[in-house]
Order: sequence, then structure tokens, then C-alpha cells
Amino acid sequence: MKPSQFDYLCPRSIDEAVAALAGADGEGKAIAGGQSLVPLMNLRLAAPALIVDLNGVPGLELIEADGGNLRVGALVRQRNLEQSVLARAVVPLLPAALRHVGHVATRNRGTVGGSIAHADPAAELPLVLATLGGSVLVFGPRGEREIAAADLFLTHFTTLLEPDEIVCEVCFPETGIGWGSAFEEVAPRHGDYAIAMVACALRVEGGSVVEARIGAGAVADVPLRLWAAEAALIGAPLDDGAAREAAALAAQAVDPTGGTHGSADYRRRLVEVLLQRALPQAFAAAIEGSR
Amino acid sequence: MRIELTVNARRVECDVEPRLLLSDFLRHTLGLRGTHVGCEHGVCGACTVRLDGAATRSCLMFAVQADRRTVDTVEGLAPGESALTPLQAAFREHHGLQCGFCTPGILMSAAELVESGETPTRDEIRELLSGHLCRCTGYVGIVEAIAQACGLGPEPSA
Repeated sequence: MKPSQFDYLCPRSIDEAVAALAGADGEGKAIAGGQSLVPLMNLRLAAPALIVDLNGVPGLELIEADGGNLRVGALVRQRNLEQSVLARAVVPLLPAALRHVGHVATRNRGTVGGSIAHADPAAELPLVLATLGGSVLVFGPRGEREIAAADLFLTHFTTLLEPDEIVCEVCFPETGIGWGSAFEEVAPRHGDYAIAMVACALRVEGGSVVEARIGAGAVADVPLRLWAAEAALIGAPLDDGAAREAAALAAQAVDPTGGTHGSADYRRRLVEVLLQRALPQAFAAAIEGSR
Repeated sequence: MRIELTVNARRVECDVEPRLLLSDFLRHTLGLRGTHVGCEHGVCGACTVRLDGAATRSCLMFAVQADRRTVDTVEGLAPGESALTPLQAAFREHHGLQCGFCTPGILMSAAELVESGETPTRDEIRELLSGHLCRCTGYVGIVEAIAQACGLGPEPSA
């Protein structure tokens, strides 16, 4: 239960950090909060030869809204984003999801960028990013590039990032005014890995849904955007029948595997039930917000 | 690597190997064995300390990462040998501990909550405790102890 030996670097700039990773022959690993990486190292499921600690890199701790996106620096602690007044106002799905991420003591240290880069299919933040159709800003030896959430998550714990690239900023589309959102999950214990979870955000105008974002997590190797369920809601108020129909379409669109905590059928059913709960909450929040 | 940090208001300077966990640094290098080590992968919460005031798993960070930071452990809570903080006294009063293995971690998480000055609900206290495994008490006494320390009245009997 102790990590194997590694070299440790704490660079003072992002250039220095990516140069160190580029020189490590794929054996280097960036650490931010370490709340997923250190357990893997303690269990010796991961044994990087070089740890590049990003905690000394300045400029990665901003939370700001630019009118289109909430831009969150990669080193922002999950707990700080959860408690951010700005995040609550412009992307209320974030605080709703973050309460489910581990525990207060792990959120105090765990970072937003780290959770995205780790790409755990049962993690809440990747689901929020995928559902809202956000993006990440990535920096590497070849410069900066933006990757859309839809392209970012490849499979379990695997993203489009090269080994020498670092997530600098995570951009969550603003879904505050005019929108309502909700997050629901089922886990064996609070803070444990979810068996199934759903996220949704609805924009309501004149009592009808005009835009919808719906996603499901922990039911595939990547967070899923549920397009058919979204399309079914457009142009009408959300009543019980509409919520049931969209939830049924969502359940049809997922194909989970069975595991210790639930069969495939059970998890598919959870997606349906959780959406039946979440959609009316989101709709009510949008109506409430427009008053 | 040379590190320099403040532990329980005392300045400490040490040479450590990068792979040394903060929990092992506190226990073995500094002899502060009040920080307990249970699962060593962040689940049980026994090793929780405060890093610059924020409750943090000491088994999920390396001692080198505490360089130039402030770490507080359970040993630093009580103001003196025979004195307890109101939070600690509440644990004794409400039988919030039995074997005591989980207690230091819970105290450090709860101390952050108490100091925040917020008035939590009992559900929020339970949510905080979801990050701490106790196999003795059934949690009821712990919830009551923290509730008292946060200024909540006794739970209305059902």
C-alpha cells in the first residue's frame, strides 16, 4: 500500500511542466489534486517514473464567465467550484453534480481539470461537460488546442490528450438565466462511484422547452449525450407524459453492462427513473427562474 | 528532497523521499501517531488532516507536496494537556467514539465545519460523515456531537 519510487518535479510554469512530460518517454504523469492518481499509485495500479506536480503552476485557478462559457482553471478545487456563487448562477448543474463527487475532504483537494483528464466513466464532472457540450483548453509542446467534450472522451480513463499535454481550462456552456437543470444519481453509498447518473438542463420560453441537454453517466465507457431524449422534449411544456417518453427514449439509448452493484437491466431502468425525477426538477427550476 | 512546513504551529524541516505519503511522514518521521491510517486509498477518512485549513486526506498526498504549507493534525486541536475543544468535549458527552480509530479524522473534518461558522442541518452533517467510516458507534452520537459543536439544539425526539 505504498507507491513505488518516482522522480518528482514541481515546475513553476506550464511550459516547464509540458517539457518535463515530453522528456519522460510516456513514463511521466501530471498530478493535480491526486485524489484518483494517488490511490492508484498506493495500490500500485499505476507506477509512473516521473511525477510532474502542477500545483506550483500559476494562472490555473480562475473561475470566470465570458458570456458564453464558465471558464474554470484546471487547478480549481472541486470544493471551490461547488461553493462558487458565479458557478451557481451561470452553470447551476455544476454545484448540483459536485455534491456527489467523493467527499468534502477529497473535493477540498481534487481539481476540476484532474477529474476531466482522468476520464472515469463514473465521474460526475465529465458527465456535466459532455451533457452541456463543453470543451477543454489543452496545452502541450506543440502549443494550445481546444477539444470539444464530444471528441475528448475516448473510452474508460482515456482521452484524446497526448501524454505530454495538460488540461489548462475547462469551459462549461452557460446555462443559467432561462435554463433549469438537475442532477440525479444512485450510488451504493453517498460519495461512492455511481451505478447510474443523469444530468439535464432545459431552456424554457413561454412555458415550452426550447433547448434540452440530457446525458447519462456510469452506464458506458464514456459519458453519453442522449440526443433522442433531447429532441423529444423540444416545442412543448414538460408534463408527466413528456418526461416519461423522454426517459423511455433515454433508457433505449443506453446499453450498460451488468456488475456487482446492478444488472444491465437494472442500470438501464435507473437511467429511466432518474430522468423521470430530474426532468421535472429542471423544468420547474427554469420556470421559477423566469419569474 | 528538503521540505519546510508548519505542523501544529511548529516549524519543521526535513529531508524526504518523494514517494513518502504525508500520512507516513506525520506518523513515522514526526511521531504524530494521532493521524490514523486505515485504507490508504482515500475511502475510510481516518487519516484526514487539515492542509492550510482544508480537511484533506493525508494518505492521498505526498509529504513533498506539503512543502511551505501548514498542516494541522488532531494533536494540535486541544489547547492544553487536560483541556478539550468544545468539539472534542461534545464527542465525549455524546459517546461519539468507542475504539477511537476513526475519531481523529472525523474531528479534523468536523473542526473545519465548526470553524466555517455555518449552521449545518443534521443531513449535511451526515453527508460530511459519509467520508468517514466508523465501525463502532452507528454514527448517531457523532452526529449529535458535531451538531452541538455547530450550535444546533438537541434533536427533537420523534
